[in-house]
Amino acid sequence: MERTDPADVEGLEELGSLQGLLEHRVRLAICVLLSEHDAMSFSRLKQVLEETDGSLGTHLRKLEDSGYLAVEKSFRDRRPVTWYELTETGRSNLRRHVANLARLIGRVG
Amino acid sequence: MTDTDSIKDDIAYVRAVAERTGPGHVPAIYVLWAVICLCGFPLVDLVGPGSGLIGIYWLTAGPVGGLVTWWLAARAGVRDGQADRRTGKRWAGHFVGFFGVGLLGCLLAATGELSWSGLSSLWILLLALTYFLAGLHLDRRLMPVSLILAAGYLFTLYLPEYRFTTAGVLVAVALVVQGIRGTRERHGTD
Repeated sequence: MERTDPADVEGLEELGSLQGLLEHRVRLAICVLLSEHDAMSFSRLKQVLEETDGSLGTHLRKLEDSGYLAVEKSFRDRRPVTWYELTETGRSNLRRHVANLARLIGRVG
Repeated sequence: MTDTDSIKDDIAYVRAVAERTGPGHVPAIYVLWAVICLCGFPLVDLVGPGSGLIGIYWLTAGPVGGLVTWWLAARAGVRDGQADRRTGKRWAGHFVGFFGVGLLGCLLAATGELSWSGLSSLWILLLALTYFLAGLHLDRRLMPVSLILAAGYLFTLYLPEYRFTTAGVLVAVALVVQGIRGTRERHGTD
């Protein structure tokens, strides 16, 4: 059994004070993608993340319910398209989370 | 795996995912500008460098081409499910900047500081720089086109005949080739 380094513990406590929501890598990836691009559709996110409809939908719902994402529905060729955008809350929390991750990684090498 | 390793693994995953969504590629935009250059550059050889027709052509084709480019990019964004309005503004900034500087450059010819033929060559050189910077900051596929434009600039100075026509043909071919290459690369990654 591997032992956790004390530096890891200290850093993880720091991360623990942040949003647990972004601890899941798929949710973190969704937020990072939406910070790079203004908006992405459900299909595009599914294609890029290679997730199933159900799994992706669950992650997106969690982020939406926490106010990280704004959702807009439209139609293209009579088919519904759901667009996701990062809200200001999502953007600032992502920024803090990434900064803390970078600090933690930097500390433990 | 320790917790830190797990975090590093997650970051590697996020990075890999982010790399899958590079700049969008719209081959129609490359073809559009290939056609605009193919018609516009030879005008200098056909009607003479000082002709007002050249100004009319570029003052019309430039902005109209820009608007059509915007429309094509927006349409592709909707089709692909990825909207990049901020990136679109950066693209527009690059080429509006080029157009503005080019217009200011016309004063050099209007005041007699530069010949009209020299101004036409200067526009190609400015375009080469704009493509180079766009290749550096926005889409690396434009980098080879910038090199061809730089070669085209030299042709406009040193070729004995059909100087601008040669430059126009080369740039048009370079744009079409990069448009096709981009499409192939994209199909390879999708």
